[in-house]
Amino acid sequence: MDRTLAVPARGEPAWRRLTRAWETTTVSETAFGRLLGLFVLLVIVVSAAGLAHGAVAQTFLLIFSSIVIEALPFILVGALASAAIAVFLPERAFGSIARLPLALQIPCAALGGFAFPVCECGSVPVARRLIARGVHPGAGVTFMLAAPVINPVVLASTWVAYGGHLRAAEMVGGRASLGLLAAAAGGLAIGRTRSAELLRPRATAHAEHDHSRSPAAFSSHLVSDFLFMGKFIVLGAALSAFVQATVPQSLIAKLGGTPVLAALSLMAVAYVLSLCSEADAFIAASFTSFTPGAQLAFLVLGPIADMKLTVLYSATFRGWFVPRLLLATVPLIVAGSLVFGVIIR
Amino acid sequence: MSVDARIARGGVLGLWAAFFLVLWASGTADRYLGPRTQWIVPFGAVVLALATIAYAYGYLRSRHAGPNLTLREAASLFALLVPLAAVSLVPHAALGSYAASRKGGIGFAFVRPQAPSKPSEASFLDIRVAEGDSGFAAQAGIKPGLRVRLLGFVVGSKDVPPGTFDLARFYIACCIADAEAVGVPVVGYGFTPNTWLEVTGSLTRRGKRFVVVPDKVTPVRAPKQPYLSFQT
Repeated sequence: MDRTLAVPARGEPAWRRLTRAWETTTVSETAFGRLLGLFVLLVIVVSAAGLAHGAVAQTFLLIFSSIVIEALPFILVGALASAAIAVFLPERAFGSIARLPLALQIPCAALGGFAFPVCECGSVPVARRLIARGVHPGAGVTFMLAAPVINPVVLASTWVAYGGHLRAAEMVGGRASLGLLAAAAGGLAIGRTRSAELLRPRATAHAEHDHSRSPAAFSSHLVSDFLFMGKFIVLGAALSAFVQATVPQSLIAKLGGTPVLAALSLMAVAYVLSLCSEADAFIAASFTSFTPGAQLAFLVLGPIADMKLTVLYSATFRGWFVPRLLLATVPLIVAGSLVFGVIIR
Repeated sequence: MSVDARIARGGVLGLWAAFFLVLWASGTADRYLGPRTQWIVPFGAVVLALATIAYAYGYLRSRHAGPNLTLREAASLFALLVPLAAVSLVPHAALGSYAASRKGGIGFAFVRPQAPSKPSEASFLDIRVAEGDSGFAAQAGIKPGLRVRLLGFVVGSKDVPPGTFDLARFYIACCIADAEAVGVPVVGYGFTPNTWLEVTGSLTRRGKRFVVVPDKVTPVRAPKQPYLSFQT
């Protein structure tokens, strides 16, 4: 491995020197070959020793791989849209959006979610790109939270999952309304934060990208976003699969005694399961021993915050983002689900 | 000599494209995804393959040297290989008795399915729904005395009537993450968890539960498609 020109400052803490080395040390062809060989050897040893065939390991590996297989194509859709925004949309389009007052940008961004039919993994890279190109961070976050809850595909799947009659209409209406409110609350929680205060800087150098409007520039942005988001989906899926493989879900069910606890317990289930918003209504509709209000809480929170998204958010935004998002949205979703329960009684 | 990061990125992208193509061509996507989300596989295969080709084309046309691969980026790229390794470690595995013990008990009262065309074709889900829905039971013709044939695996569950064991199948809607074991108690004992059995017998009532009184129990190999889907 080669060390690039990163001169450590005198008196710099050891952890900072390690971080710098981690980010700047380049990998030689020999070292890369050895790492690859070691990785393959490790897989062979784990396989030969039967370590993957224990019940816990097998359950973990199956759930982990299925979440990644399901989520990666949505990341790809998001990366496609993000690359298209970066390469083909002119700067002036964002300038005119950015000049709108925030009070107008947030509801417009929330309604803009109707036009973007992807689940939550895909909306993160798009929101990041919108904010980086001048859309107000609050509006970008509102769009990111609204799109996976209120897009037509998600609302149609909710309609079908609930049987297509009055209850389905109530659940679709409840999901769209509470989803929009929660998304706007998430956006407002960002306040007047500037994009540099919200977005975590990326390791990939800006100068590395081709800034022309060529297909090569498009594919460069696409691959960069896909690989960046992909690794965090892998980490989030691993966390979710670990919890699912080790913690019995019946523990969560014991919390569902009162409407508030029922809503909170299904929100906890949504957080752990990390389901795609385009299919989660089929699961929510099955929780018939829980109230419709609690089911609504499950449907609204899942696309806004779950285990894989938390990892993705932490990689995209600064550390304060996730706690502030949860503080702004969780009480609102609980309250909204209770009101919904009273209205449809 | 340092590795050009673009080669490593293109390699990982190409591996994922190849993986989705294999998943699509081999028809094994249903081991990970439910019927509602299987369109993801051909979509992912085509778009990832096109992205790989476009990226490779951009690399070949580029006239300047690319960035060097850093330790940090190498670790990220290896992280993206971990799911591929996970699939290769358990290529033919399916969720079993242990997963059933972890992924149940959250008040999952099943969505009413379409009634089977013949009562004798009642599935695990039909029988479980009929336990709590007399309207569905009448519509599907599920009642004591009905002869049924069930293919499932033995679950080491204690939540069954005395003198019975739980025979179950996993049902999925979206992907394995939402899999739910749906079991029917069968009179008998002594079967090892995860053993696949074909049970023929008749239904009887034990309290709220339908129980199968078997007249034939045959150990069989696990079916090619171990999961069933919620057909709502």
